[in-house]
Amino acid sequence: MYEDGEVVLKRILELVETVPEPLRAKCFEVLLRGYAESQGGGGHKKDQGALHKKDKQGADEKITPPKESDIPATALPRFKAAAKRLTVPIEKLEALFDFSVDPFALQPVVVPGKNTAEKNRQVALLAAARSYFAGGPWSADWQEVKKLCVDHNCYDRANHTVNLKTGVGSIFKNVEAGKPVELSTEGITQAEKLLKSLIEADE
Amino acid sequence: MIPSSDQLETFQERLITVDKSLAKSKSAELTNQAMITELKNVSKEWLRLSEALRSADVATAATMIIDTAFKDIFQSTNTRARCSAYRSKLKPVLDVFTNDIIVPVIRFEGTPAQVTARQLLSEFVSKVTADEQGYLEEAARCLGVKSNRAALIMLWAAARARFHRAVEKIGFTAYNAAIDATLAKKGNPYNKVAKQAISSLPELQRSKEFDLLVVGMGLWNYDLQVFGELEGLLTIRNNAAHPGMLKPSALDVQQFASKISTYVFTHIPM
Repeated sequence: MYEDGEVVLKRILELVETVPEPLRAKCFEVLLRGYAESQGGGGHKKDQGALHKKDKQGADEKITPPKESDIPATALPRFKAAAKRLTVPIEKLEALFDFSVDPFALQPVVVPGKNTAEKNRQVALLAAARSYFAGGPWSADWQEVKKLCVDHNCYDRANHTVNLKTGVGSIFKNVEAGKPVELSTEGITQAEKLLKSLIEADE
Repeated sequence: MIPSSDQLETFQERLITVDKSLAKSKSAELTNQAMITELKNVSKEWLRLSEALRSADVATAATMIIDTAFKDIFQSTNTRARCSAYRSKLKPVLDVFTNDIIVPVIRFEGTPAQVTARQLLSEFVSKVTADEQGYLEEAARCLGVKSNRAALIMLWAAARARFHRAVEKIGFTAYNAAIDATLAKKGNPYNKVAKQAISSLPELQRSKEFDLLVVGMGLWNYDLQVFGELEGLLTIRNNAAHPGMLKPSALDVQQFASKISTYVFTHIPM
């Protein structure tokens, strides 16, 4: 780099001599910069380009608001309202569900409960919560409860219905094999408490 | 239709009962005619369930193994066989039935897609006729296999069936009179309705759905807001039925179904 610097500098000075006095300083500066850039100053130019690009990206980011969440628009109002009720950040509530599948599913969680029966009822509360967030009622689909119980290793075929029926009158309005399990007002409260406890357990 | 896990659990209990009965007779020849008949029946029942499971591509590998066992049991019922021989043929079935048949079915039927499909049908309970139910069940099946655009089309088909039946019920004369009354009105959307005289169901089937929705305001007394909702649903249906960038999610289909239920099946009489 700058192998022919002495010759070029001499030539630049010759050229500068040819312009009027007030412009000579500027002329020298321009010619010298041109030479410097031709000798590898492109890197600087590239950096500048990258900087411009970065600035542009920054500007784009400013123009496009950051995506609020992966929650589908149709489900977002219910998530927002629930997060507000539970006084938890919406992203924590969102983290309990998997939105990469359509329709969204529950993320794996550790279901609380002293025994299988209690876990069965907690699973039903979770399934009802998912149904609610998906735009449906606060009721747990019978088959979804069974699946979640199998997944959480708490499915006791002989006692499954009985385990759920124990919750009738307190957290469930009714339990009938094969039919959706509808939550009572207390059940809805318990389901929301469960969601909050799962969020807190995750922290 | 895929058998439910409840049905399969009941079937398994039946097999366990048969096995326990056979165990009592140890290695004696099975001469109890009722038991032979029961073995024939469970074999036939299984082959029916197996076919349904394979059609839904659930637990296919296991069904083939169990098919072989039951075919063997069925053939044995026409020969002299010991109870112990039947039990040895039933054993591999009972060994795998829970893990390889029931659990996969529970996992399949409990997926959110299947749940949404069932919830879609529950929207319309006691609101629809058998004909309309057929379209809705088809829509639910589409939703279950994530064919969301197809589900929208079938839901609208159910809605349109309701409109057509309602027109047939009031008669084409009344319908034509309602068209004339609509045409006499000024402004949007009345001025977009085509002048026509309908005298048969095929003619009604060929007429524009938009016209039917506008004329419906006069016939079934729903207001401009309900008309707006119905027109919106028709637009979604048309978008789903034509190539484009619409990618409805399962929740969108559920919402569409909910609106169809509210605005069509509540306002248009059965």
